[in-house]
Amino acid sequence: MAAREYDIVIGLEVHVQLATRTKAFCACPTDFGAGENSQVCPVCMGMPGMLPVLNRRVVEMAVLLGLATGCAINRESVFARKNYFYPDLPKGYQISQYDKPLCEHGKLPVLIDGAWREFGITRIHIEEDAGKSMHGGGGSLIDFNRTGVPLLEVVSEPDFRSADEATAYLKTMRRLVRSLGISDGNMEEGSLRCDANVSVRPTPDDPFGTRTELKNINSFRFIARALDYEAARQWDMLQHHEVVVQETRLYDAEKGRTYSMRGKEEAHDYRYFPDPDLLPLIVENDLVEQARGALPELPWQRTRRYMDDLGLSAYDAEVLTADEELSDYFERVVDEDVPAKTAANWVSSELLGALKQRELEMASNPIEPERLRSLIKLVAGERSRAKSPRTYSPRCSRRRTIRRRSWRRWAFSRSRTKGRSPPSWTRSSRKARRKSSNTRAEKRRFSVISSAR
Amino acid sequence: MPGGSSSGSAAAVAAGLVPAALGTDTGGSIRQPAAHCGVVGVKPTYGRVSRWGVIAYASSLDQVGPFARNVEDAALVLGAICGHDPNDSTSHAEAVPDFAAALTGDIKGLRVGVPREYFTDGLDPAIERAVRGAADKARDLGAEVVEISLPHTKYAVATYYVVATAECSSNLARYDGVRYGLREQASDLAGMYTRTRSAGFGDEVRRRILLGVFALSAGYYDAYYGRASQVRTLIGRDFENAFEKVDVIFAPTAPETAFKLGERTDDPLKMYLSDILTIPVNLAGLPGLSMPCGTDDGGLPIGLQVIGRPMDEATLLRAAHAMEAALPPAPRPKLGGE
Repeated sequence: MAAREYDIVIGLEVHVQLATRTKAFCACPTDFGAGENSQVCPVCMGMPGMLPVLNRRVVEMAVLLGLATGCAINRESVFARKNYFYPDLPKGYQISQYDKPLCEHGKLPVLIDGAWREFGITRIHIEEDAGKSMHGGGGSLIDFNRTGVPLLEVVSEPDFRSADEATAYLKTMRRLVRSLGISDGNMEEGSLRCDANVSVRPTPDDPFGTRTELKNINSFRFIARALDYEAARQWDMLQHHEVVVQETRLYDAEKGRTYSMRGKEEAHDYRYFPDPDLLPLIVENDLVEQARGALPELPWQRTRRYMDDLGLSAYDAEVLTADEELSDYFERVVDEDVPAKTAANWVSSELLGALKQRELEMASNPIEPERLRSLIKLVAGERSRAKSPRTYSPRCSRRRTIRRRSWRRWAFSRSRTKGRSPPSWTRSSRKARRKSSNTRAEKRRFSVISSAR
Repeated sequence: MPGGSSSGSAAAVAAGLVPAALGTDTGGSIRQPAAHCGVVGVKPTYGRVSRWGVIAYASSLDQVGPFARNVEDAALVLGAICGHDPNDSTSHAEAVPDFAAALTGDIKGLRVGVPREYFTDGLDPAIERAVRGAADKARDLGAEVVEISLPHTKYAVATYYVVATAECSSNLARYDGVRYGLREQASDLAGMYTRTRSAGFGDEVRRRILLGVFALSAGYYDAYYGRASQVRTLIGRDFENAFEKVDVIFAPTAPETAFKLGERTDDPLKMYLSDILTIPVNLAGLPGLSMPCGTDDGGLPIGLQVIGRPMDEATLLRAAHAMEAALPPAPRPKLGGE
């Protein structure tokens, strides 16, 4: 990347939709795929006389994320009402946490270009999701199925100095919530949503500039573009002696630009106050200790272990730990005869390449790790029989091609006859299969993400 | 006028239409109409009775309670409606005692506090006489009557009108015309909200919503809602201190007996001040009741307010029950056709 003539400052607010079976304050299911307004009850519809009751699982998941990110868990936190009018917000307020959040002062280790960085987390708090508005066709329709689904809002410090850093943080956050089993972390489906505060300044020694809040950057595909665009827009304004206004802006992915949400939306005074329907949340020691005991190996711990103990390169370690399933698979391939480096090469290049070619996801990978391991051993045996390892490489290009084709045919066809994989691996059936095959986390998907507010 | 917002229930009990009825008491809406109508009305400890199904006005103050013609009936109904409800996070898990069994008629040794701040300038002299007379009767029955002080009483009305209206402004936001109820048509969303809510709410409700929105607004929160929450704590502490010395408190329920229809509506502030004697109990979350305690010169009922420790409705009812036998019964209202 060419050197910029200015310094970017970015902070992220990430919303993690929790994979609980029921909603945050009522017993409605959160299953994906139910018909519109079929997973609602008088509580989440804001009927008169209804009261919220907190879902314990939400607290457990929040504590899990708090501990994983090294946050202090506040033994007493307070639910607050965030008041605003919008048709997809049935009560006229959102239950959230304000001045006393559950988790504070954490950090997320992120591997960037082979170096570890730590980005600060200001706070993590619990809140409920709003419904989904669908506009058009001469009117607006609202699906309240999502209303009351639990969210964790993770607010970072303004620690990012480039869009790439922010993206890397977001990817690590996604890996983390997936490995903790608290969310499927799917951005396209809205289980992970991101707002960013962006400002620019001439040099890192200058004070922070006026920031804008960027909404609707809900895809890894364009988050960096959105942030870079907004920073460049601000710098351009400053160069022309214009004033950057503190405001909320929306990113339009099609046009590749941001635009102001001028008017009512930004004049909000949410009039937060403690929700009198909910007592202060007291988190007992037992709950925290149970969560601590339930913490799995965290993604960065695994990445570090791959580098330090298995001797993998930072690149390989990152690729293999980018996906929980891939990494679990890799570990099952390794044994005393198949060293980690060899397994890493096979998994990250051969296997992933083959899957990509067939438009398959890791979840629907038909090759058992044991099969791949035995294949690696066979190839290794062939290699050791070669007269000289040195002469192997120059000769191998053609042979490798042949071999690659044949092993794939072998592996895939064998597993197909075993009936492990579906008959056709077309793109159209990908989602359905992924859903059926992913049993680790409950899946909740929404095809449309309502415009963020 | 039979009194505040649950007065329909009070009037129905007074008229003999029903043996008992329910009401909600946020700032005195059970006790004040009970006083005006000459019946017994109980506001339980906050959290004693589930608020599930109650249309919320001010969630941290609202509490359901019974009206009845005598203390025993009130105790029976109260026993039936009290108890933990998993649907209401603010409801208490504590076991519910047999309230009717607590009505022994014996208050020997009971320490009764009479707060000096409740006998102020605006108090009808007939009411003061009746309430002090009740305290004397309690002494005759073997109770120990002492004067106590609740120094922050004078801030209760101001505190209440900040807390209650703030919560009200949020609780009433759901009546927005989107999912149910009235909807006025408009060309855009903001217009629909404005027109629907302007048409659907009356003047007094709109006044309270505006007051509450103001009290919670950025830049005013600390001065109003934040401050009110602090004063609320002080009012609660007053009672805590008092209950170290006494078991129950005797006070007037309302500064005046019932007034005529239309007499007060032009002056909201005066109307708000008539709640001055019942409001502190809600702010502190305590149990309180009103029971008949004689009449004024015009023959209108006077209410004696009895206030108890948190979750100690049993002692409250025992004291009221013993007093009931010693005090003159409330006059039966003359109904049309009689």
